[in-house]
Amino acid sequence: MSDFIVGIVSFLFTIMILSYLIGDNVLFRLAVHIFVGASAGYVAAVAIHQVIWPYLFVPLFEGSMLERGLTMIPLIFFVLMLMKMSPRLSSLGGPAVGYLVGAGAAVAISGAVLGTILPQVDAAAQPFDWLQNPNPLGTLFNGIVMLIGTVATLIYFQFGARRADDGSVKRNVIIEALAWVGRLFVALTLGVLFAGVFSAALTALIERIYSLLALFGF
Amino acid sequence: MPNASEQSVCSFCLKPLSGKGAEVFRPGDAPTKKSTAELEPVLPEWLRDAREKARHADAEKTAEDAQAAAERPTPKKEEPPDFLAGLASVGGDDQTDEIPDWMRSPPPVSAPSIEKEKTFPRRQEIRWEGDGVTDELGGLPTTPASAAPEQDAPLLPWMQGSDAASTENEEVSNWLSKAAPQEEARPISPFAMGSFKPPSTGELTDWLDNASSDANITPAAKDGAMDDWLANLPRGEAPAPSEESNEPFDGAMGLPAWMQREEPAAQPKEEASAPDWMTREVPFAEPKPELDLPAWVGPFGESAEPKSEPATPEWLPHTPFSESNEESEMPSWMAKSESPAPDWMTREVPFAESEAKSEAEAPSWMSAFAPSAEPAEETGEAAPTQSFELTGESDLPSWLGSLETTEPAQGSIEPPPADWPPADAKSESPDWMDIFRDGASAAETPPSPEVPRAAAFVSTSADAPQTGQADDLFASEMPDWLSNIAPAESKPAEAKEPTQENIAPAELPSWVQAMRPVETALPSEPAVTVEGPLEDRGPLAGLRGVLPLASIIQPGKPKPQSIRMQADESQQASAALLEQMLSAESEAKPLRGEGTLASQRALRWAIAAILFLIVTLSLMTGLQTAPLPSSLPAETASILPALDLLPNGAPVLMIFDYDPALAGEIESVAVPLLDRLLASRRPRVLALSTSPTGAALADKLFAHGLKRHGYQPDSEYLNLGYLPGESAGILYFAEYPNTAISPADWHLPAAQDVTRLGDFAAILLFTDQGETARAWIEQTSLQRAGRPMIVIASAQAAPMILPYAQSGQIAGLASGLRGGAVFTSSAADSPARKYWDAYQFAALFAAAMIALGGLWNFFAGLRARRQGME
Repeated sequence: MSDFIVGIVSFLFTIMILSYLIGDNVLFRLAVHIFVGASAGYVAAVAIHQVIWPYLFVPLFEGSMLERGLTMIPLIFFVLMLMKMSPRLSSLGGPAVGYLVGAGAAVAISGAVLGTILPQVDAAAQPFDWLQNPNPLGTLFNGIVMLIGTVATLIYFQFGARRADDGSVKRNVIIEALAWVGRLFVALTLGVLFAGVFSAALTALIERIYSLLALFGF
Repeated sequence: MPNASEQSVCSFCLKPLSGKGAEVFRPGDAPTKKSTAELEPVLPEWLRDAREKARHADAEKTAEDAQAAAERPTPKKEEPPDFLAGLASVGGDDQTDEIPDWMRSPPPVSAPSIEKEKTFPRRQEIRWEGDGVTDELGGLPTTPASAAPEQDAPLLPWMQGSDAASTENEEVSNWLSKAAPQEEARPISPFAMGSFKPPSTGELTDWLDNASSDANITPAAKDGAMDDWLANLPRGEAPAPSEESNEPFDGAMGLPAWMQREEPAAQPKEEASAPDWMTREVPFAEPKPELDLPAWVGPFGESAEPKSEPATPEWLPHTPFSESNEESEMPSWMAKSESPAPDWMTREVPFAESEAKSEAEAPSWMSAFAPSAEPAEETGEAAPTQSFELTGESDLPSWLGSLETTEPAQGSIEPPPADWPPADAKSESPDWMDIFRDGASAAETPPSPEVPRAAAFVSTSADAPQTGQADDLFASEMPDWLSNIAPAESKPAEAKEPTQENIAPAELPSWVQAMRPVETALPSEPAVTVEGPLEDRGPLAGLRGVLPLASIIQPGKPKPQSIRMQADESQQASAALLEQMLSAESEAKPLRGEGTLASQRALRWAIAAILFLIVTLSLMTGLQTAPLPSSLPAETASILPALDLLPNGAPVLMIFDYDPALAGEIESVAVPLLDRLLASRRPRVLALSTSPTGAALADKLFAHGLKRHGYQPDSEYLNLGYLPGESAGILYFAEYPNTAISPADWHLPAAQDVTRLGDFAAILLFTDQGETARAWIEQTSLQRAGRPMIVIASAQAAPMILPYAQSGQIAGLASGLRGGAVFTSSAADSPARKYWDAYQFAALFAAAMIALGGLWNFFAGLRARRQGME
């Protein structure tokens, strides 16, 4: 029974979302509002149940003095963050926000350098180590293509140019050629991303239609 | 009496008392202070004499009055209103043209009399009784005028003639009676408008004073007939009918004092010395030994005597003023007049016939008041009923009486209140007469600070409409003989009177300057002379030095400034480019046609319908015509070996970081992978999510697997829940897994022996975002300690995660339905298999539509270019 009710609700919400094909309408807005509301409520419940209570109140009420003292720091930040709701007192939440942004930026930068840039640079150089590759030509070709693609894409986003004698502003010919190549790589990347998005959406659509058909016995 | 120190204008001659008063007064000039003491020498001789006499006679007069009051309780001698006073002074002013000569002539200096001159109260203090308000008699400047002698004041001969009431004087009064109707035709009466106010110079009030003085000694006056007569003046009524006025004059009838003075004239008068001209007009009048007559009246008085002096005017012996005087004749102008006698004089005929019986005679012009002039004894009514009262002992000239009686309705002078006590000539007198009783004291009082008014007979700008009528009255209606009536003695005085200075056109009259608040406007300190240019135009005209900077700052020719911009060609080109960009932004883009929008909507609906139809038909039919991918990509092929290397029952961390919207895609990949993993290695699964909804999706995914593979919660499956903090939380969890997640969960069998991230045998990341995969890869690269990390991602996130798979940072990557199909066997019940055909047809259709759209745009561009070239 519950599966049937879940199926009916799923079917109705699916139709309401798909009604966006004919344009923005009440059914679509209603479904979106319901989803947003349900998600917000669920997230709030999860935050209270899994974050605030176990990480703030439990140490504050049941922890040792050290734990309580240490808990005061996030508690103060918590209160300061609540000040952001008031336009007059929003400036008091600045320190908490600053702390969060600073800590997040530090973690992200360090993770990007150590986890993305250096490994990716190293990976981009691997194809050119033909001594260690069993198929050096193929690897080298792939490496060259990735190198050209990477360089060309980076050059494409380089907008430096020099002024010609006639007053016109043009980039260097080589830079312009590499930028054009980089634009091809960018276009290919965006095409791949679009294909992935379309593939993901199409798979979701198929799954929804399949569930609807399954609901009605097909 | 000297002028007050604070006066700026002479009270007697109205001349400025300071030299500055004669200066031209212009707008903007500071007010000047007046000093009247300087003008003392310039006063007329007669006025100075009068002032001198007044000074010396005050004390004597006071003593005599007190003695007379003690001897006989007769009513106090009332001073007639000096409504004609001031004519001399005013006439000598700049208003000369508007006042007859006889008014402008200086008042006749009365002959030496027992009573000394007395200073009349100020003009503002003279009020008409019955006004109830501050209705002033005068309106002249606040100049205390020297009073005419109370007694023995000469009476005008023509008025004496009326007293005689002879038949000869019918012609005299006839023109006056004609004047009355003419005055009726006047629209506004000076009295009615309140602007006709007697002057204060005392020029013509001498006869009034005589009349008042005579009234005290006449029996008729003692009977109170005078007050009654005046009290019943029909101010507000039409003139009395002639029938009543023709009634024989009865001795009981109240007569004015001046009318009855002939009777006591036969009696010896000790105190008052009647002028000769009064006595000679009465046949039985006896010359008074102490008669004091003004010099100019002397001839009139003497004319009554047989031996008249040659100073008598030629016309005077012919005047019919004296009935007994057989030699008296009509004036030349009257004798020559061919017009019959005036009506009012004819009305006096019966009155004149009874003259022999009556001791007191009223002038013919008084007949106009006859109806209301009933004796108080007969009527017994209150006298003041309708009009303002003069005094019981004062007389008005006939022309004034007619003027007042013919202007009943327009007067601002209201009748006295009904509750007034009846007029009693002896006991009571009008209140305003108290002013004259106390004239001496009133004259001694300092002038009131009231703003002086213009004289009634002076044509001013403000009172021009009112005074103009009075001027017309005196200027045009007065006979010539009246204008020339001035005595000979006055002419020398007039000649001695200093000629009036010619007033400059811009000079303010003296009385106007007197109105200026000198004391308040003048600063106590001498005015500081301001230097600087004098403004001759604009609102600051007349002011000096108000714009000092104007003389310092001289506006010169402005320095020429170049308006050409100093910009080179490149800057101009940049400016042109910027201008072009801005103009392009402001240009409205052409709207798409309705047909285009409709076609696009229809196309979108058509594509959606076709796509729905393909998917639905593929799923409904259960077609499995599309083959599964036979070859695995390199990043996916590495997943199976990694999973095969996992020890049995080892803890595996599964991270569910995807949204419910893509749950169908992720589950299509995750379900075959989990089936394979759980079936082969039966690991202890610990679920974790950095998304709030991830924990629920994990339970949903594991519900089918746990049920299918018989997994036990908390022992083989543990959902750690939500991990907050994103990258920081991931790093923290990588460092301290037991503290990052609630420590209570770590005591469960599923989490046994897990204290760090490296304790997990493998990490499976289910995500639909490349950023989430990158965060986990970056933050856990060091803490994983070489443990494999397999990413099950959505197709949209695969391109972003693929570099990490190719670089070896992750053990494998399976994305989208195609990745799920890799792990799916050929079993028909697998999701990947059921979706694969629909997915393939739909993807093919989408690719075809993209290709068609590209071609359509390509040809559309070619056509547009071709049309543009043509």
